[in-house]
Amino acid sequence: MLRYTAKRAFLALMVAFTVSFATYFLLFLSTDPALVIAGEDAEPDVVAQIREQYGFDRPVFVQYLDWLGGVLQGDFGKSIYWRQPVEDLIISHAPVSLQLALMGVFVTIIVAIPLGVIAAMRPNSIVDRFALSVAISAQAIPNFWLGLMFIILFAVMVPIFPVSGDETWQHFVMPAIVLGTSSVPSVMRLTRTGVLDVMASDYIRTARANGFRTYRLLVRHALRNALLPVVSVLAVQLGAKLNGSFITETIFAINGLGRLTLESIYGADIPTVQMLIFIFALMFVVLTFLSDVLNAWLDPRIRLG
Amino acid sequence: MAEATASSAEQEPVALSPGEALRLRIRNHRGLLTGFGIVCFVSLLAILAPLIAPYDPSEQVLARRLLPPVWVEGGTWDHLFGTDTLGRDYLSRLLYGGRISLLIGLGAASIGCVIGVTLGICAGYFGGRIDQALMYLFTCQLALPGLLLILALVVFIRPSLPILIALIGALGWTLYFTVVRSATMQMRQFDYITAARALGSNRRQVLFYEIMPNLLNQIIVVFTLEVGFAILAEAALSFLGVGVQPPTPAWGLMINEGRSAMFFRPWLVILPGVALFILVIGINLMGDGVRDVTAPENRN
Repeated sequence: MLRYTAKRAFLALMVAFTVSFATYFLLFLSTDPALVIAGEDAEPDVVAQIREQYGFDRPVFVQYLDWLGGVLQGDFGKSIYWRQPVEDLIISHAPVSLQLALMGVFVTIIVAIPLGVIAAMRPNSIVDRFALSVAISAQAIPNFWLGLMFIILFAVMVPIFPVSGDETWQHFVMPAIVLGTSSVPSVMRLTRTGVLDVMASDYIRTARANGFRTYRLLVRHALRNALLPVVSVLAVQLGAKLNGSFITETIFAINGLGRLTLESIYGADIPTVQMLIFIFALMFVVLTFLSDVLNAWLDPRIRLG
Repeated sequence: MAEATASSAEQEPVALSPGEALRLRIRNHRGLLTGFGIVCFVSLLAILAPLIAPYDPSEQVLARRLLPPVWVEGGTWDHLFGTDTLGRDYLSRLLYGGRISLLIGLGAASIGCVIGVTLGICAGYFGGRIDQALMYLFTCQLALPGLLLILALVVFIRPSLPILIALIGALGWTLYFTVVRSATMQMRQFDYITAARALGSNRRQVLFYEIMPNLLNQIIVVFTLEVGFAILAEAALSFLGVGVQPPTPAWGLMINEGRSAMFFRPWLVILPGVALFILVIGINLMGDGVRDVTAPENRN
């Protein structure tokens, strides 16, 4: 187990570094930060001076190592657009995003898992077909459009929840539903397949043949095994929600990390964008690592195989 | 279970040739037929847009701004779906918008396909170090926040259609990769590959004549799903104002433009969204259907 964990941790670390360099390099190639700071119609010698002052004239690799050294010491760089340290920006915007992502995953869980289980208990029944059409529809709905529909419907016709801002928990209800919907299809399908597989397994058949009630079997024995892969997918979905919420945050005027990234991109604020994308990648890597380790701990076949 | 086997045995007598069996499965698959119908219908409308659109999609008639669609009070048959904030005919813009969606969907999915299939075959066929290296690349790609990175790059480079297609495609190869990789790995051990080698086929012949044809079904399934993803990604980017640029009509952009008026004229936002939904659901139904119909485990 320790060996497996160490191996996974090393891989996660490598991936995080590779991703940070790839992002740095791509953003470096795509624009000229000196020109952004100086403004579009600045004199060439002013641009040159800024380039030298900020060190943009050095080779990309040197700049990257410089940046990485800072990050490792807790210095995330200084935002060009917001004119404050990037770490302050991240700390002030993170809680809102985290709350939204957790609530989104919660919505996914309470919709997708029961739906998947019920569908699997009666394969090819009306319930199963209904669950499948929910999955197919949710996959095809543009998420940002769903958000707008909710705003039109609930803000104007049935004003139950506020549709803009992030002051109270009620503000998060509608965005969380919108954000949660996007991962309902995958989690539901996975739950359904998992339960179907387990219910067809020998130990369940034996127990049924011995007269156990199906419902009790499901809750006591089948779900535990069937939901193993679902747990790891949910961890990954949480990571995806943290960075995928930028559209939802924009629509519902929630001042989280996603919206911060978007506005930094519009402001051509490369240090902030670079750091945020790295943070998102890092969170994804960490969550994947945790879910791998959790799975290996729960299922010895993975760590030994 | 026993019943299902009995009834399918009645439907598919043993005497059917593989081709006939496939045709029968296609005919009995309602989802596939519906999806295929939708995709054909939307594609036809999009291709024929210059012929059937009643107006020029970028012609602005300011005297006829924000007309409602025909089923809303005040709507006229002159503008079936009404007009937008600049007085452009909404139906014409929707028809032309379909072209953009399909163009971006097909373009991006093709680019992703070329990258993903090539890497997947390499990883699956050669295995070992090459596989490890490509798997590492795959893990890194998964960790990247795709849509955000595309957004940043598009904004920094300058929003334009070719760049949009290239970026969505270049970051959309992972699904092809996993599917093709594991299929190739399985296939490598089959007897017909060994037989082809024993008959003197070189590596290129084995790849192109033995492995590629057998991957085709799975690639088609992933391709359709990726077209759907790419269309939704483009719509989201255009909605944020960094995808397709005005005055080009694109559904995501139309939703963005209609947003300011959406409380009093909700159809401006509803119609392009419904168009997106219908097209993508058609594409996904088709992809799921092709998978069901061609999957080996469904064959008796």
